[in-house]
Amino acid sequence: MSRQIKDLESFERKVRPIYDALDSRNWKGALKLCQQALQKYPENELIKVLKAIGLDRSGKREEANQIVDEVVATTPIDEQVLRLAAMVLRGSGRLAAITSMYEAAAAAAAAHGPGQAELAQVLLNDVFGAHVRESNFVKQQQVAMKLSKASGPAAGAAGVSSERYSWWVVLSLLLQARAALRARASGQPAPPGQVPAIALEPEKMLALAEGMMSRQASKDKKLEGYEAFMVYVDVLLAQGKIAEALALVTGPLGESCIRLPAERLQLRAVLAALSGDLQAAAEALAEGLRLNPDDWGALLLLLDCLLPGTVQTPRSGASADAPQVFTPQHPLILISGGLAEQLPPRGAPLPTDGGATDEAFQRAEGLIKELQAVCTESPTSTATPSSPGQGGDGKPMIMRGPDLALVDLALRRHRAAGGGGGDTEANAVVDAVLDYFRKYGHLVSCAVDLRTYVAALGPAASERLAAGLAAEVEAAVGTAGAGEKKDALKVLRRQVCAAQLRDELGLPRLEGRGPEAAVEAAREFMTLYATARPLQEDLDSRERGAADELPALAAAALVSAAGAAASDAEAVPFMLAAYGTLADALRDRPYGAAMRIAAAELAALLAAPAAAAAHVYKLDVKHIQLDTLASHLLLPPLLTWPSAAPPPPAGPAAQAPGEAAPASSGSGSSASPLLTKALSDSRALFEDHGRDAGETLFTAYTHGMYTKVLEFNAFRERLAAAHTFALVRAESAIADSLLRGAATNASSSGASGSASTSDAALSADAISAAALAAVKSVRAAGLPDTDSLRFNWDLTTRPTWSPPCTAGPNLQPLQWWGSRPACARGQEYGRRWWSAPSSSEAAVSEAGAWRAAQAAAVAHRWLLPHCIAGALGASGPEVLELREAVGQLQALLDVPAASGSAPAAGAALCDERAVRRLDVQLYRAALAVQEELHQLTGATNGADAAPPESSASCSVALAEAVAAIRGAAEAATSRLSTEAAAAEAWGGVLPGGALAQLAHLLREPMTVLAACLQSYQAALKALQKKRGKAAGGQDGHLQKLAADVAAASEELTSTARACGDTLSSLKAAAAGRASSATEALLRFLQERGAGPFGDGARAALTALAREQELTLAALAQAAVAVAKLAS
Amino acid sequence: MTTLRRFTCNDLFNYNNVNLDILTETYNLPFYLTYLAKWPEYCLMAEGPGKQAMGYILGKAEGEGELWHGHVTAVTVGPDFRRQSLAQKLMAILEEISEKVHDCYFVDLFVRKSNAVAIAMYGKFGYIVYRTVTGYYSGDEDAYDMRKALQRDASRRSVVPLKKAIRPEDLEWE
Repeated sequence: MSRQIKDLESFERKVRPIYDALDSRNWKGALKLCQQALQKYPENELIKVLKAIGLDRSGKREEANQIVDEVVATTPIDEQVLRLAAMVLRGSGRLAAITSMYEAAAAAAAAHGPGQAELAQVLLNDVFGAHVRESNFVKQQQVAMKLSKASGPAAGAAGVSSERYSWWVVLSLLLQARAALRARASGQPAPPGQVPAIALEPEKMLALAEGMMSRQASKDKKLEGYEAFMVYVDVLLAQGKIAEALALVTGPLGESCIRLPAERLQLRAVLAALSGDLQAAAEALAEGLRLNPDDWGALLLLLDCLLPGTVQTPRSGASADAPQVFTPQHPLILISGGLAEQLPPRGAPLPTDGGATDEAFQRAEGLIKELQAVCTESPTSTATPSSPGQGGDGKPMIMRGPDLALVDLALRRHRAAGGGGGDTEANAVVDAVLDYFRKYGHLVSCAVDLRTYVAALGPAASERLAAGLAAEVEAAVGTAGAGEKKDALKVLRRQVCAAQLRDELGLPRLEGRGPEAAVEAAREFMTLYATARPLQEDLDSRERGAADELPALAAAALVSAAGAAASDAEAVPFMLAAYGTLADALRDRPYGAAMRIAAAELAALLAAPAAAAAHVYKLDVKHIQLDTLASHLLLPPLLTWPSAAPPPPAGPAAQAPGEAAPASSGSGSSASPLLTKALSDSRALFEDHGRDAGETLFTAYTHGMYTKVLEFNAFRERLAAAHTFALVRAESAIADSLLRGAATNASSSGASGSASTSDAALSADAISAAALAAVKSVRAAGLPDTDSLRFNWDLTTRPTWSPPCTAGPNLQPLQWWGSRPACARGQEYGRRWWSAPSSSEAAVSEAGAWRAAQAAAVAHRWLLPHCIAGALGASGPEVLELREAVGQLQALLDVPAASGSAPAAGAALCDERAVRRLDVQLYRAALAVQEELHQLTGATNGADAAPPESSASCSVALAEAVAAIRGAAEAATSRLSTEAAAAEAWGGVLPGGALAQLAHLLREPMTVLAACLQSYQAALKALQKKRGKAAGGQDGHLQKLAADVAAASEELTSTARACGDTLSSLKAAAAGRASSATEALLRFLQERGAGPFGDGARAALTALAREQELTLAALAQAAVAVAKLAS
Repeated sequence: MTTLRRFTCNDLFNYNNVNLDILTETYNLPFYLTYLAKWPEYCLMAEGPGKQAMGYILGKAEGEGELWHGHVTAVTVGPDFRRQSLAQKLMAILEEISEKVHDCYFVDLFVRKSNAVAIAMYGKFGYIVYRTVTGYYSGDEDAYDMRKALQRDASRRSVVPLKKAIRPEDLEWE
């Protein structure tokens, strides 16, 4: 650059304003300034890439890339030019182009000779970063070796020392070993560039890395620091060298690298335990605990070491014959993405006495009681901030650790005695829980602390505990008197905690006792909740209130009543009562997350997608939460129900549902802005990270944060393999195919030809073109399966009565209704497999079954765009052949079903498998018709050559598919009519089951079938014309097929019309009721003892009913559109 | 009871019972990863008995000369675990790391001028209002820059309050 610029100052004067404009996001201004500057310096690379940045930011990605390509072709070596060019390339996902750009630059700089040696080194550093971006572990190792050789002990031109470069080599080697281990475990080859071309055993690579680390350590008698040390320990553990790791930690290196003594002590303890020296481990842990008795991880590990026979292993763990071993778990020895995670060291064998003797229990109890004493002694002693129980202001910290450890100990004793059998042991657990409650019942966390322990109790012990809690609460209320607010709040907290614990125990028993008991339970919760109000009048609305758990519990009780109702219709008023209860509470406490989520789920089940979305968005769900939360809380209503409502503004400012009426369904366009936003935001989370992960990874290398290098790498893999990512790609592709909104807007896959626009008329050609474009983002080779997917949903946030289901989000509401009695049970949250953190990836069998079902569901969705394209005769290199796609759909159905969802009584709704079977039937019929058409086309010039049996089976397949669809649609409409008649009693709000079934049928199979029939009719007409000219009359097969297709069209048209008529009349009835509906509902509920309800409930229930009406209208329109397409 | 350990990427999948609290900001991924890539020792998670997230702290060390200091970027405790002095414990550890690992002169943090509860809490932990930063929060709200001196700042020069407010662009560090 400098070669051509004579007057640097005047150049600066031209360039600085461009930077300023870009900094202030003034893209237009920046581009204008670039244009001016280029007139003076037409060949200047810097100005060109600045222009490219301006173009890129203003959405002109293609032009930006073009300019960058031109600049790169001249092999620039200026760091700033390269950096800016890389930004543009990265934004377009062109990671390989960045790599070759830096490689060329580094080579060019090196060729300039010693004068540019420093620059060459810096650019080589960037080449390393480019390989990191691409996860090319082999090449990054080669570059790191070059860098290491070329640099001295002091930090070089790139700010990195040769010691650090040699750690880059070690890390590159470890990543290759890890990739090789994973490839070995999965039976799939490692991605290109991740393992050496000449296969090297991963164990050998580990040994090699260890050798490098040990040379490093012995050379200077020191290691770079904590990060290097922990990687060293990890590699030793992965090779089973526990004694060596222990020696390292206790030696001088351990002391110099782990600066916090408590951490060093803990690491020593875990390694001692792992080596089988439980005595030494327990001693070290006790030593640490005397200084910090609240350390729960250490307390549990101490109990594990003292009583190794009581360690609980996952339910579906190793087989019963495997020798009993004790493998301590601790975050310090399990680096995420590390090698010990892939090759976990074997645990130590259990002691011969079984590790759960009476003496051992006594010793454990003695130790815990000693620690309990430490907690009560220390608070008033010293004043250093780091002493236990002491904060900066001298206020004692609350240390529940040892107290809860006594509960844990009691439960271990109970388990050791054989679980259910021993009354004494169960009673001891109850007593320990009551002791803990006495001490901490006023803390918000008390019920959460005790949840797992309470969940382990049998029926008799549960009753005893409930009675004990009642007595405790009574005593507390009795002593309270008319004291201070603070004391009143404490008593209230105790009452709330006791109510929560009783609910965890499933008491009072609501199941099988009819709705009255549940309504009564809900009223009790709300009566208690009402007492909180005067105590927290000055509380900020964003803060958690003292009794905020209660409205959610009351709602859960009411949903339990809905579960016990005789029919779906009769369940509705109880669900509305739950919704109203939540809405009233949300008026005061608008950010209560559990309440919002419960309200969102109810709205989703009752066909009010915009209300559901507004509840979720009110919680400001974003970024990673799109994977963990929005996937199963927001996508289900948006995928199930049509909605033309605009996305609400996110965050605390968002209006709550009920505060504003939902937008009307508008002009009847098929666009779904809420769905489009949810899908594209979610995709962006994964796609952005795929592009950007390399940046923070490279930062971790540069800063020497080696454990984070391993961790980030694993995190990148986890997000790339996320179940949600597969899901949103599949759902976007389906939505695009069916012209339901441009979900793939800016993504690389959809940029070229996504035909989906909201105004596009529904036609076979339009759908065919859209599906052809959509399959690009769901490539057949990437079909997701259980083993390749990672499950990141945070299931703990789900209400007890809305358990994770086996269906994908698009069928979640339908499946809930289909198994309502099993789902709608609002008690015993802690006893659900999914209530524990990380449960979606847990080792328990229920989690495994759920993952398998989810994987099959998402794979089915992934194949659908291919099926749609194939059925409409669209072909292209990316489209999976229809026969193959149908075969795969069928194979997914062959996977045994997960148990759990009980079939509903009465005329059953379709379950998820029935819906998938319907698809198989549909696409199999499409395949048959296509083959028949193909035969006929081939026979055009000769005699009628199609074998009669294929023709017959084609007729049958088509007729059966249409009949199946008609059957499902008629079942849903007739059910709807019955439900509507019943619903008159409470203002007309309908259950969501039959509606969801209709919504699905209309949106997918009926639309696709209608499009197929349209295209077949066109093809047949053309063929008939041709035939008519060629061969005169001999076209029996052709006529037969034409007749079959015509009959199918007629049947589908009449089915769609019938659906439309039912839906329109329901919509009209709802509109006619309008204002009186809510009053009718409230009267109905009052008569059944529910309520009282306030203004919040009134507004929210009115809005909900109004939105259901809009849903009915949108579905009626969809039915008309299908009828039009089919006729 | 609490297990204190380093914050990891995997915590992002499990921290919702803290982050669903409306006063806790959910940042984009590069934000968390940058902190973890540069200052992992300053990023700590407090885990409860069922391995649920109780609260966490994210911080960093920065500055030059006598301005070398620890900074609290985010400290938050989930609604279920409040009123147990957990925030205080997390702050104490950050101060300890600033003192023992990084040998800083002081620790500082920014807080909304309107957040009286938090300001009072930091006051109790020994922080003083060092200065006001006008329009720090997207231009519509001022921040207090609060500081607490560590042992290395024997003369306590870092905590002599400034009378004059400064603008965000004049801050020494980002």
